[in-house]
Amino acid sequence: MNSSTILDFSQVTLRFGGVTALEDVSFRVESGELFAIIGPNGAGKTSIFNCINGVYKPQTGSVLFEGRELIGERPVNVARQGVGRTFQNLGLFMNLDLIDNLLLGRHLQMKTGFFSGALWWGRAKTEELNNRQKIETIIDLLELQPYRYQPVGLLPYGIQKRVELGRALAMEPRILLLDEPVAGMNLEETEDMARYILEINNELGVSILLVEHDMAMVMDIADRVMALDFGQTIATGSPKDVQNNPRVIAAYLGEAS
Amino acid sequence: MSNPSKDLKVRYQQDLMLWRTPLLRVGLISLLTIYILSPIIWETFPVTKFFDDVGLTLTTLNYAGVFAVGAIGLNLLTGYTGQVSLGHSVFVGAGAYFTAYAGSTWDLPFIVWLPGSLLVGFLIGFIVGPLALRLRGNYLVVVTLGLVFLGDHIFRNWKSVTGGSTGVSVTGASLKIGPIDFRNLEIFGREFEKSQSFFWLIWGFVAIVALLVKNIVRTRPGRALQAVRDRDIAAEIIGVDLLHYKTMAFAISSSIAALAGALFGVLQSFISPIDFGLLVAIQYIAIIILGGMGTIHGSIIGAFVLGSLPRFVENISRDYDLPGVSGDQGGIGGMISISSLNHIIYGILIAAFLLLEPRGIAGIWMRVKTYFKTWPFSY
Amino acid sequence: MDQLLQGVFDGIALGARYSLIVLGFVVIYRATGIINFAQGGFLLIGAFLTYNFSQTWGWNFYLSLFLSMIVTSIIAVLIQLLLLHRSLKEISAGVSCLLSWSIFFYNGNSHLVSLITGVFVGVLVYFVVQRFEMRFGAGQSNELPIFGSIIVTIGILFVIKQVVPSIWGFAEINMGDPWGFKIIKVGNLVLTHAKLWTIALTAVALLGFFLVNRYTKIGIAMRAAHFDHEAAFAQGISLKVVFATAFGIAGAVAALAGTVTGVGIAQLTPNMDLIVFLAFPAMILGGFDSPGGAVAGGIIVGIIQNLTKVYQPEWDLNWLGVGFDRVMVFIVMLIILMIRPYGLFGTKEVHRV
Repeated sequence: MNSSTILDFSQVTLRFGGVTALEDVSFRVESGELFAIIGPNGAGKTSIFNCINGVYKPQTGSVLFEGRELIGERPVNVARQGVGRTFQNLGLFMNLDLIDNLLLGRHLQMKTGFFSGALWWGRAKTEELNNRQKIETIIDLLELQPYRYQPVGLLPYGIQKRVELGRALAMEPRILLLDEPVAGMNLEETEDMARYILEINNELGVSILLVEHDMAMVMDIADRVMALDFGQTIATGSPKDVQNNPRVIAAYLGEAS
Repeated sequence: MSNPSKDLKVRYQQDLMLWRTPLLRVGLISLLTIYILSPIIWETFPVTKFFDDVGLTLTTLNYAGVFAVGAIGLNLLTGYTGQVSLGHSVFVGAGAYFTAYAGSTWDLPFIVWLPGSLLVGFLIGFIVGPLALRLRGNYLVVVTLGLVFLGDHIFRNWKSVTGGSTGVSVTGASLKIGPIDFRNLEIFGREFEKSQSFFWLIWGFVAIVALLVKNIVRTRPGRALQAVRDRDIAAEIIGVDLLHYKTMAFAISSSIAALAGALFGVLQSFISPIDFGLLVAIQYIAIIILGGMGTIHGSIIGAFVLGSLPRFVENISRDYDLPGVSGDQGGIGGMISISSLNHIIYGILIAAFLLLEPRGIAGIWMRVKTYFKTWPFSY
Repeated sequence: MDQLLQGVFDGIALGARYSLIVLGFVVIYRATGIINFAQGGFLLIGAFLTYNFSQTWGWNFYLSLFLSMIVTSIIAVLIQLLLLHRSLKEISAGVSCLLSWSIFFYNGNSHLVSLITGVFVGVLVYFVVQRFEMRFGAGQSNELPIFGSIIVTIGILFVIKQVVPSIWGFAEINMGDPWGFKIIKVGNLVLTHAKLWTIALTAVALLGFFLVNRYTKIGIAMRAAHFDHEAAFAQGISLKVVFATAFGIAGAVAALAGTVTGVGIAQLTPNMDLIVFLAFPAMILGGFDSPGGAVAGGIIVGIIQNLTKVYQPEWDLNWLGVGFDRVMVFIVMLIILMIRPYGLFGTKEVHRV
């Protein structure tokens, strides 16, 4: 294995009953890379994330994160290793305000338990203050200042997507899994989001695994792209190569291949 | 705005304060004053004397305090963690029976049996908690309902400890901390009645429990619990250990319930399985619905209202002829008894609140506050 | 061997009642997604109506049972329409209509005058609340969450449990069934008429339900609503009709369940609704959304409970206490849930991330 490989997803097959969601899918994300997965609906993109996160257990294959096997781990332990994630249909805690949501992203970085939390004075208070300062930098980065004290359920959809990115970022992940971060957004919001993603990738040096529908955006920002159809890899390479690959065009335009 | 980060630093500190505004601080001080003075002046001071006359006696308030403690525990589990439990009364009962046994048979002092009852509650919750990991929604409701039957059966049949269906006396449990004995309280040569000393004891516990739980819910563990309530799988993926937090929510909630049971036991002096049945469990749910799910002060307000409601209804029907109620001033000829009337008012209150204001009295309070904050603009 | 067979037979008779009760739960759960705790109240109403028709008014027992099923079913539908409609204006209209009706009636007006006043007040309240909603409720949802509906059904149960004894009293009374102590002996087995009739009536009711569910238009609509309210609605299925039908069916089976539970000497009491809580394990075993599972779960629970009762003294388990058979059922339920969290026949919810 290449020493700069951060995530090695190799030969994973995932079946639900008779349905094969992923068939022998392999790819590698290099350290600091922005790797994108594209494909039509139902191609198995989100299933890949769920295999990495430990929500699904694939029948065969392995997922190595910095050399450690993730398959068989509980989702919590995957998060502990430094894997951050956003969700296609938003996984925000809608009744909590923005600050609480971001602080929840820092859950693993914090230590306060039930006992010290109940006593408050001392450790719990110091920790709250320190982490509040940390998330304030994320609020600045993602330009979320006006929304600090609002329950995120009341925020507009585009902002919610941004909050979720912020929460994943608060985990201080070494790899960030982004599940359709611009789905349902208008052009302006998409451009903003693309800017944030590039900033996170370039300035903070976080490797990013991106699943996306929006071809234009993927082609603009991704370093490498993998195309997926019916759970099978149909092309991997630079955005340009993948874009011109006849099988990818067929899958997207629905031609018989 | 020349140095925004410095300003913000002050804001963080302020954000973390519980009594943020001067008004809240005034409120806190008045609450403390009321707490200290109430038992002394209750039957003489005009305002409180009026309360006393309409049924809001110190004893009624003491029961309300016990309910408040238990309701805070249930709110931690149901309001904050989203785990609906119909079995809260069993945990309350465990604490009460432990107190009865440890206080009289083992003759343990107050400072030993009290933590003991907390521990008993904690352990039972710790065993039950993991069930919630595998069960969701309605299945959990029914399983906790099963707990009530299991608990009732044990309370009725483990006669050596619980006294069976007749029940057991709790008068043996000592309430002595150092020189202070809450059973025969004497300060500066003045003797106080049980209802007076118990007011200080019970509402003191309400304050302590409320503060501790408030601290839990505004720090890391409390946020994790609310994350489990809102989106459990997403919570797990960002690193919240579901098993740990669901188990702990049950354990802590049930240990607070056991404390409420212990207080209930010493207050009522005698306990029997009837005190810990399904009706009581539903009563606790009614309290947190009425007061407001996911708020601490809501649990206290709810307990206050529902705890004093029966006495209030009793008083009203003693003085007036209510249509259709037997046993009131008008005497015979009614369709329903006073206790039935109570139950019906309960049912209507629960339904009305769920429909009109699901956030409970705490929600109404929020609305009033927002209204005055934005006055004269209604939006 | 005879003891075992006898135990199983009695268990099946007991389980038949559970099946009926659970069927009522399942029908409502499938259509609306709530556990209707008021089912115990329907059961009480049904049982006492049968008693009222057959004993107080002296009608034929089977006719009484049939009428009771119809009346209870109507009451259930009314309760659903008035109280569980999850819309503020309709509920407030319903409640105020009932309240003003009863207040006027209590004050000595005739039923007709009270009813007209009640309806008038109800309509008035409806429009007032509607205005109120339009004025203040913009953007705020006045729909009841599922958990809320469940609690409301508990509130309804409370009220019914108070109203029933205020009409028929608290005493333990006889249902007045024609079966009495008549028995049939098969070998060494003693089969009482009451138990045989219970099983037979249950079988007929269940068969009827399955035919309706399978072959009629409303049955298909109900099954569609079970999968997806919105999609069913978009297909032109009236959810109001589906909900009302579900409550109607639940009311009818509750009346039957109440009647067969109340037969025998001094079995009919206002506390009879407790059997509903004992039916919960049956529902869990069967799975909330499976009518077939309801039947199987009910029978299994009945047999387990009855065999525990029969064998407890024999196996020196008396120290577990009187009434352990009822607790045993819950213990079995817990064990099964640990292995299969969605019951034996329930559908597993798929959680999409």
